[in-house]
Amino acid sequence: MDWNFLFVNSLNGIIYGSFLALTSLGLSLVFGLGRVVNFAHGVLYALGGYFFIIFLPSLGWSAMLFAPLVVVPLAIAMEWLTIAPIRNRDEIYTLLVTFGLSFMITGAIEYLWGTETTLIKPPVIFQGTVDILGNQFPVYRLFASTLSLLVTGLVFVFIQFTPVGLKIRAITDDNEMAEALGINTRWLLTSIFGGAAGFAAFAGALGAPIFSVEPEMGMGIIIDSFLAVILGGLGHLPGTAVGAFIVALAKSIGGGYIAEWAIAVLFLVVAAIMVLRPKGVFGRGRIA
Amino acid sequence: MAASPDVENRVEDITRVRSREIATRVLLAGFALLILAVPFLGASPFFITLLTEALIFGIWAMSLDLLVGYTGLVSFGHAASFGFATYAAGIFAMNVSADFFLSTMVAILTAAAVAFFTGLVVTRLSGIAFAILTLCICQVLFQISVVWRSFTGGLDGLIGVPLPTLFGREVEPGEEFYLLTAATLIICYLLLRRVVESPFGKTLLAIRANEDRAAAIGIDVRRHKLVILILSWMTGGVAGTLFVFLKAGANPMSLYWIESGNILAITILGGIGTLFGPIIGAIGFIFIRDQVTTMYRAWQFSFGLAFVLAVLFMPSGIAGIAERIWRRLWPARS
Amino acid sequence: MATRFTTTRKQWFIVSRLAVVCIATVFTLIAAFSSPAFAAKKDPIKIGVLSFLSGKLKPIGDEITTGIQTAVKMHGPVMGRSIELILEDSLVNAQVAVTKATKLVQKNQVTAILGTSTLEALALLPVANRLRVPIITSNSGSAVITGEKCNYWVFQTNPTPQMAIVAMDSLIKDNPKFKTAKWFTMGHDYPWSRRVARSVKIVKGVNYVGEAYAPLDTTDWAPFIAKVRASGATAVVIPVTLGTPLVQFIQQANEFGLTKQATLVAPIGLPDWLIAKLGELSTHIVSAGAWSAWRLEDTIPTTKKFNELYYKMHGRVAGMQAIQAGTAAQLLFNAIEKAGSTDGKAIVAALEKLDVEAPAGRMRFQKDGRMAEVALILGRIEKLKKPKYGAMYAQSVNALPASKTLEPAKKLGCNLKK
Repeated sequence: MDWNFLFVNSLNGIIYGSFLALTSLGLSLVFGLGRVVNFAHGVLYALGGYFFIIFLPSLGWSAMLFAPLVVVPLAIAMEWLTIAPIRNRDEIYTLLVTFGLSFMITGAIEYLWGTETTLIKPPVIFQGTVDILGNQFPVYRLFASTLSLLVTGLVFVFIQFTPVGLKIRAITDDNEMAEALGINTRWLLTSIFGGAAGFAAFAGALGAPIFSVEPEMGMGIIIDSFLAVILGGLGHLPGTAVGAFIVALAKSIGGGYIAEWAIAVLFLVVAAIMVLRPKGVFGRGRIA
Repeated sequence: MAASPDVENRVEDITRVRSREIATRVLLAGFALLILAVPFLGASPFFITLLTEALIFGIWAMSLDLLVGYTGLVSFGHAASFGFATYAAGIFAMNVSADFFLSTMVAILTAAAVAFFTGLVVTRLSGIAFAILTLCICQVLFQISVVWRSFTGGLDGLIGVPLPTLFGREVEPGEEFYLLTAATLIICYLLLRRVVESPFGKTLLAIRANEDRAAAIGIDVRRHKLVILILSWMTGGVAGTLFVFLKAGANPMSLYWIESGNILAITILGGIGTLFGPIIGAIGFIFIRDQVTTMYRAWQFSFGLAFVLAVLFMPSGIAGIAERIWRRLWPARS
Repeated sequence: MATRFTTTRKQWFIVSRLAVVCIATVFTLIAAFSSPAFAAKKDPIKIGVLSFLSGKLKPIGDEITTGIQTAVKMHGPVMGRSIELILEDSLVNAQVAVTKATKLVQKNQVTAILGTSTLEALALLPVANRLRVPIITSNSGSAVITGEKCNYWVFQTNPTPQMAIVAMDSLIKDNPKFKTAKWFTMGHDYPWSRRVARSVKIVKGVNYVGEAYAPLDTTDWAPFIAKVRASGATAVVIPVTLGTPLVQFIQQANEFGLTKQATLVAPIGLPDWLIAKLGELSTHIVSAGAWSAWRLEDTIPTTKKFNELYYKMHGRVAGMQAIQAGTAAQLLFNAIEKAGSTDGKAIVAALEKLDVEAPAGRMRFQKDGRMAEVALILGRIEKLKKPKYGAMYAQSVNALPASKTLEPAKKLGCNLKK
């Protein structure tokens, strides 16, 4: 057995997994809180990438922080216009509306900024590769995954140890009871939706130098993120992070050994977990 | 002694509702006749081509309506039923026989078999979980159709499915094929109508209304879900068979999840829980897509917008609105 | 009581009106879609162009349509009649492509269909006998189109990957660095990628160390790059979809430093708009195809004429897809003139006998087959000493005639049934 090959693939999986954790974070939060299955999460990610390359020439790398700032109000407007009005309908409707939205926004991106792919070079200090046990790894990937993990960790801490986080957890556990206790759920749902969009947009900007920027960039990431969220149990944040790593490792290790069958196997595993452990691998998420 | 005014009113209501039903039937029969008559009304070849495709999508959308509209199961993987059948029928027609009935039987039976096995799993769930699980299974089938090259031709797909034969005679593309499709649609509609109006169909509505309560009054929810899933896939299989003959080829992309989203949008835009609505939705979708994509380059945007507006403002779809107008014309109480 | 259907006269009035409206709508629709496009003699000749006009492959569609537009302008009227192009979008969907082609034929009554890349050409093959118009594809990467599934109506002008592979044989033999290289195939999971791999494998004396195929929607190539790495490959054949995926792959390969360790060989080449996008990165790539065909202008006057007109009309260098599409268009115009009619079979017969100089060089179709005898261009992408038509980088030109790369139709598996 080639241990080095396994090591390289595992590290690749961990790098992609930490990135995926960041993109699935918002998806999981929004579901846990508002029972909203946000199919448009992917296009918010894409919007992040686009605003990043728009701001990059004038703002430099701080554009990575400004891009989410533009996407957040857009997302809040989106939530207010399309998701809030159907809150009291069956939750499946949120999936349908956001599916339509994702088409709309992808179309709008193509119309506004064209269909071409934009390549971004990482900042100079992160260019090149670094040697790990005789293997070359791009510095920027390591940087991006560390930053993703850091942000994800901060969100955990925020939710676990702050008063607002407590409210969020209360709503996730029992929406009606939380409301009865005087928590303004409406306001919190909207702001969490905005925040989740911000993380998605940040991920889009962070990933731009790796995955490049193109109109359909959100479509690929949304499916992987969904899988991660399901594996972890919908609405259960630590589970989501672990789910992200499972998906990424399955793709990279599986991709290394069984190549084109890896994805079929991954989907089968997710399907099996949904049926056998509907609350996620840890049994801590909501019943889907 | 004269009946009380209340009773009289009710009798009147019943007769009015009955007359509305008869009128509805007359209207539907008229619609069926109109569909069958289209080739004889001087329609252009391309109108017939588009309508053929629309009616095939109509059958497919109707099959999804069984799940979404009548049982409350929103499937996000319904491309599987259709795409799978295109391969089953296509491979059979290319290698064994292009007989329409035989190919359809093969497609229906294999679809039923796959539906049975997926059904054993997916019927445990409902709501969002059902949607996502069906999506996953559809993606598995998509991957298989890509990877199992020796059987499916991989991403190139099947190339060169012959025209179907009917009683040993080849069905010509164009008007003949159209009539075959229209007849199939009408037969499917009538059969499915019987299903949804049967006690079985009424039980499904009970499941849709509240699954737990249905289980509590002794309905075997999972078995009902399984049966309707198989029936839905079989109907989708009929559509897939017609489609593979129409296009003379099959492609893995008809199993891709976006295709599942499209057919779901068609069904909802048309009006779920009506069987008839999805047909209207399919006709609208195919004709509008044809016009829009020729005139503008903004199909994705317009499609997304239409879908969002429909879900927000007319959740009962085109058929829902039509029905409201219809009811106003034939009110139960004057 | 049962007979007491209380239907008021008013209701029946409304219903009958509704019925009239419905039937009228159907008739209007039928009429709208039936407008008989009766082509009088002096009317323009209608040519359909089917391509990707929206979505992520739109850059390819742009190249193709601009190339055909340039050819129309360059050629001028055909038999005294002007050319009217009718553009249709395939939405990157095989099934829609069939519907759109049918629309072009049935509604617009086009004389022929141009444009079409692999996806559309494969979808049109089985229905070509129903469409009954010549289809000249200029951007197809599947060998079956002119091989085992070849069709009386479907012609192809751009080199197939099969030809590129034969060309690579000579590339490997002539280049000592490649002769000793360790070869790996890293492609998308297409049947043609596998055919490319198989043909590399059978080159005599080649040291073949492995292959991997990625799913179509791959965005993170790291696992596959790791696989290439592990094999120790020094020459990597990359049958990856042109456009976004290829850009992403090359960027990530560069990010991992793979381009330092190995030469990338693009079996069907690298379009000029991709080269422009990749910039410096593209110099790590050796390409086999007819890409950067614009550089044939040093020897072929028609190419020069086409390039200049293209640059004047569209403000950029004519990429291979544009030149190929323009070539297909010019062949069609010449065939119509030669046939003296717009009848499909007459045009096919004329195409079979055609031998003319087109933007992609001297062109004729192979005997008993449907593949054009088009020259291949091999070579590394290099930085130009003097940018031309706005291009900074281009493939170095080393033309290989079709006589060396194109096998006879019979051997390709093509058996035309009339």
